[in-house]
Amino acid sequence: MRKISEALREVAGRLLRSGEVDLVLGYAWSEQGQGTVPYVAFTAEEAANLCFDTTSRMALSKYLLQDTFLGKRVALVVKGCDYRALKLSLSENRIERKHTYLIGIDCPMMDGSPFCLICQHKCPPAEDVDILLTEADEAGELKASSHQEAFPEIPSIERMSGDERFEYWKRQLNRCKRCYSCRHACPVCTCRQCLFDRDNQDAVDPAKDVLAQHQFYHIIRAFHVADRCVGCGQCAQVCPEGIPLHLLHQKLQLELHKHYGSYRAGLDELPSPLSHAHAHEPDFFGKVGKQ
Amino acid sequence: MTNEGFEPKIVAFCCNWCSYAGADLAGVGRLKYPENIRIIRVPCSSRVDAALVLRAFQNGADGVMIAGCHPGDCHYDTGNYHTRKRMVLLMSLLEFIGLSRERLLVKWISGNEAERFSATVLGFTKELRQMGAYEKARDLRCVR
Amino acid sequence: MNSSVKTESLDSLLAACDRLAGKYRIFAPTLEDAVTGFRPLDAMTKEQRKAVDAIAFANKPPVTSVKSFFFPDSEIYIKFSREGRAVTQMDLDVCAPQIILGAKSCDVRSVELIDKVFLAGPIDTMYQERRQKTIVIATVCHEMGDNCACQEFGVSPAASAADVLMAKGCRGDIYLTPQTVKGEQLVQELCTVGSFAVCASLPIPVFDGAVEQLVAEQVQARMDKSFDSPVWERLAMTCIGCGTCTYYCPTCHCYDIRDFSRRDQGVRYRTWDSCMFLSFTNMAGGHNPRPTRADRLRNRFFHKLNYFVKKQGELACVGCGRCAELCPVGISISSVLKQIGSDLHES
Repeated sequence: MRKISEALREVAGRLLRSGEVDLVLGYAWSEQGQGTVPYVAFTAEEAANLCFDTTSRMALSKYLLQDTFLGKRVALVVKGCDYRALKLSLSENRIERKHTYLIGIDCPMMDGSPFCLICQHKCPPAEDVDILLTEADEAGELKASSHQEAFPEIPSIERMSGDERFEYWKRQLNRCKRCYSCRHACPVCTCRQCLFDRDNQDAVDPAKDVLAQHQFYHIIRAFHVADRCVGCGQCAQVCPEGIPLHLLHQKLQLELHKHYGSYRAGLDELPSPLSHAHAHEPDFFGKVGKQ
Repeated sequence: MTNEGFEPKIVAFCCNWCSYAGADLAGVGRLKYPENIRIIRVPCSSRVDAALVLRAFQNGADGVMIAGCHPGDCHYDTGNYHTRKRMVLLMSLLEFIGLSRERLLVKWISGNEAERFSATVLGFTKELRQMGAYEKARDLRCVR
Repeated sequence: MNSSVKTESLDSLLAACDRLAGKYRIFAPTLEDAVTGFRPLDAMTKEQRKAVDAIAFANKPPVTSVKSFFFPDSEIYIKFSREGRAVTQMDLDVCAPQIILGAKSCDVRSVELIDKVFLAGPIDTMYQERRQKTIVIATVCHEMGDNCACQEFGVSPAASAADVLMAKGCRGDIYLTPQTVKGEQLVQELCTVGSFAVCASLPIPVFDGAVEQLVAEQVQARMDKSFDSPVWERLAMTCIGCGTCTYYCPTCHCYDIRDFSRRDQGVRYRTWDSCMFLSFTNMAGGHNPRPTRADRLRNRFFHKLNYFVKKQGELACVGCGRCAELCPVGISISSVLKQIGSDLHES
């Protein structure tokens, strides 16, 4: 990723020196030495710390919704999935395009990410970003796998009996501590007031040793992001307990595609499948039909 | 596993304009249906989202029924189109996560279909008696 | 005071523990779905039992700390039910005596730190009961893990005040050295149900003291000077505001009290809360004294490196490295200390 990192540093330095942007939001090498982490450069000197590689997983677009970034002109490093999430926020008028300078990245696969195996949109469209950086001499397209190859756990879980499935998810969800990392890291989980932050004690219960409450949180979150998921993989990546909650989101995506056709959040035109409903759609609960 | 004399608790979300009227008509017509059902009247079946269904199970429901107008007859035009879209996804997800999709029933019942209402409740109650009490999605801190 | 005993293998020790299962709940660190954590010995699969060795003797602690044995993530303390007008308080399950097999020095030290909060007047009786009923068997580290900073915080990787110290000899034999009265009693009990021999203690690994220990008052003073530093805004820009650092930190101890009731029954419980959440300091009336992420971040590190020193005389960090490993954006107490230090040098 040398070419991309060098080009990135050059662009960032230029933008900061000229004052065209107030800050550049990208990635830099972590002090813990465990890969790159999100980084904000305010000066041309700090821009020299920017880099991009196959550990630059974290989605950055969500930061622009934070109060710390509002009102600032931000140069944002966007790879494919992140760009899709950004598009959602732009279409919802949460972010103003004119306050952003988009540094698109033709994304290489992230280390160890099954999401990248099925990614069809690693590169943001050149016409939608202000500059597009690619590692020009790296050969060819990413080999796209099938959904089953990328997420073999889904068919494997589907083959289990109902009780086995219950035990599997019970073991996984019992580790949940409701740290909400998944929610905070997800770039399309952007409600101003999340259901789970409401003070209404009838709405949510924060007990951490009750499986039913964990089920509630994870199922409802999966529902709320169902047609918004951009496949960045951060939810499962950040979970400290290694809960594979990305499987819930991917399963819902499969179901949505099965019944309502393929819809790519952030790329296809709105409205999204769950925000509209029509007479011609299949009826599963009809007079004669079975569920 | 089914206890003798186990009576399931069913929470039924009935839309005001069709299925609730249908239930009412069943009452007027003295049609018998099991007492296991607790009806909650909603303006439209699409008012029911996944959270309400899960809450019902958490609080002790052994089965949840959602009854709405037939597609095309929704009082609010398109409400029940949303219902079916949402509920088919919820059922898939419930099944995937190891909870029973059979305990969630979605039925279209119009205002004059009193027999359909009572038959649905009777059928669902019988099925749930077979399935037994539902503990998997239950919040076990308050168990009646 | 007490000499050590040894048994031929970890399996032999676990077998002896099995025989005490009627009296104690025994927990050991193992793997579940590739995540390390403590699990009850009597509920482990064969593979999990085999994995105990590697994880108990690893040079870093498991992902979940031992704080949940004394301060569980959710704990019911009132249970009531009502019939008509009569309300009865129901009995709660009593905490069973428990043994933690394979804690690390950092985690042992962390319990001493939160003892200062929970066992100082007014005494937290729930915590106290668990504390009294728990016996900790700690292992030593032979080298520092990637994210470990224990020595900086005055924790020795090779020594702790645990009830029993456990070490592994080069032939896989296990040495137990009791250090407290509780520990001595447990070792004697183990000797009656397992095959142990009295022996000389294993030498403790020596760490050459190359790491400079932080001085609490100096760190506290550094923090005082940086209250208005821009470093908090800076850190807050990449912090995502989740609760990972607080929940996995062995010394974080904030909790919320909630009621859960349905019709005629209810419980009152306490559950971990995180100062990183916006709602943490929400007040009735809508005011929130820490409305920005920078405010909350600053508060957390001040609690660890300043307020705790002022109140208890110690830094509230044991250098376990969990924040460094688990933070999704790489903010850790070490990186904060570096930033505070360098910030002051500039000014």
